[in-house]
Amino acid sequence: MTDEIVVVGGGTGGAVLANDLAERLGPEVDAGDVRVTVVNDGPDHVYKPVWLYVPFGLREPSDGRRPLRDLLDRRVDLVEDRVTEIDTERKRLGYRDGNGPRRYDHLVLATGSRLDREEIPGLVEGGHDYYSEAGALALQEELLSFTEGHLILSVIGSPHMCPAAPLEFVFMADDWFRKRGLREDVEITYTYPIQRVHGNPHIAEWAHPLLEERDVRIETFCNPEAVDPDAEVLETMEGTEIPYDLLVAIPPHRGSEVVEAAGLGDRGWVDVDKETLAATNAEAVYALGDTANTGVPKAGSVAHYEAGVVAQRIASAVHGRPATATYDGKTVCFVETGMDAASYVEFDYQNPPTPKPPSKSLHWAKLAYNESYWLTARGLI
Amino acid sequence: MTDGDTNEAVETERPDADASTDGQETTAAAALEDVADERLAAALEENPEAVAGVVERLDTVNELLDVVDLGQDAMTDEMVVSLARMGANVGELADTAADPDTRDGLARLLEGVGNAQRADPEPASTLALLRSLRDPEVKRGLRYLVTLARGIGAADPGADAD
Repeated sequence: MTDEIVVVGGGTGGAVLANDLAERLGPEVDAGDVRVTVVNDGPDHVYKPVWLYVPFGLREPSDGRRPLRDLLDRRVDLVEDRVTEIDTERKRLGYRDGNGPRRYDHLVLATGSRLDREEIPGLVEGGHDYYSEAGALALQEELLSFTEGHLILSVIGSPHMCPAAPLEFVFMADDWFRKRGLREDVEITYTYPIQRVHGNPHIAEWAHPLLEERDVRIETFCNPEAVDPDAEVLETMEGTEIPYDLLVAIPPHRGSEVVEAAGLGDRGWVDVDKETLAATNAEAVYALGDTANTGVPKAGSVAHYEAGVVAQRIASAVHGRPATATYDGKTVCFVETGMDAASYVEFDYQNPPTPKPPSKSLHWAKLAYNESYWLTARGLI
Repeated sequence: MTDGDTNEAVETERPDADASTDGQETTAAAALEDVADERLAAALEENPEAVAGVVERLDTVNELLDVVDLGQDAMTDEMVVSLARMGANVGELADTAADPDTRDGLARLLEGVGNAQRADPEPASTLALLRSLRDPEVKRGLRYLVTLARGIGAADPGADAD
């Protein structure tokens, strides 16, 4: 019988994995012994890092969108549907439209993150974000005409996609207003839920003085529980009320509902062995990228590196060999520190990050990588 | 673009390895300098010719660094994006062309273009065209073109709309 490999989700992790599997298992796929199927709930692949630049009018959401079929190896089957049920006991799947394979031998969950703005009353009406296409466009409209007042960047949800992006937004906004001669009329506040400015203590230690140098007001231990859109006030669990003119929020995140319903992990994040990426509550199930609860950032580079590990492990299983590939926590993130300078960090489970000194060259490297991303999705770099 | 003045400014701003300290250094910086001195002394002792060779070529290194500076001064974000996009597009084309069947097909088409370029032009009257249909090479070429048309149709992303 054909070995069924089903990848749920066609984002960075799912696309890189499927292309990697097609390459590794090409002869088996051609012979009909193995089938690699990607199930995606839409026709397009979306590269989300583009959204950071949309509010500043530097990119459009369409720059980060391509037909998924164009990025996948021809040996990969693409099914446009939504998985609505996972039965890990019987290794069976249910679909919204019934289009995908009913059973699986190897299942990979790469369903990514979704925003749960409703978790914070008033956030939908009172807040903006750049963590969705519609959100980034709406914020663009506000930001381009914002010339004075109090801008708050509030990290509400954690974990969230791209942990560097809140700092990047603040650094970019500061520089952007400064270059346009408006900074004296715009007050910027950055809020973070714990006692430092970033979840990673090394990055927090690096970023704190940078924020202070830029005259960004810092509010740590700040956990917003509601937004009053009429009064334009952010209300926190700590009992403070912070008035704002423009609220840019990192909304609470969740994983896929179907993951939660299958008992694979809380809030839609799959509990996994952080080295093998195998689900702890089911056999022959892997998770990667945002979906895998590993403790490393929910970032594209993580999904990319994890995809290589999962591909090797599944290929080993198909070939009847012991799987030996493991994920070491490798993460690489660029961090924009203004409109024309950037830093980057590289770290793993053993080695903490040491941010590089910001430079124009690193900023260009980030821009160049964003343009070259499609080669990554195709599995080329 | 960079002008002569900018280049001059860049050159004068480059740190001079021989510059004396101004007494403001921290203890840590002094310790680092000591380590660097020790490493330099050790390298000189172990391989004086190689060190001398590097020093003799510092002018060339500085000239190359000037070229890097020129690149940085002349480029803009949009130029970087445009170049990277072109590189990525070429990379994607190369990925498609790297499929062995696609590669062989493209090679066949290119060879055919070369053959046509070297051959004398064919007469294009109706009678001559009909006569050429009896030529086995033309027959093979036409069969391939019909297959190519089918392949192009199958690869059309908008095929479902027909």
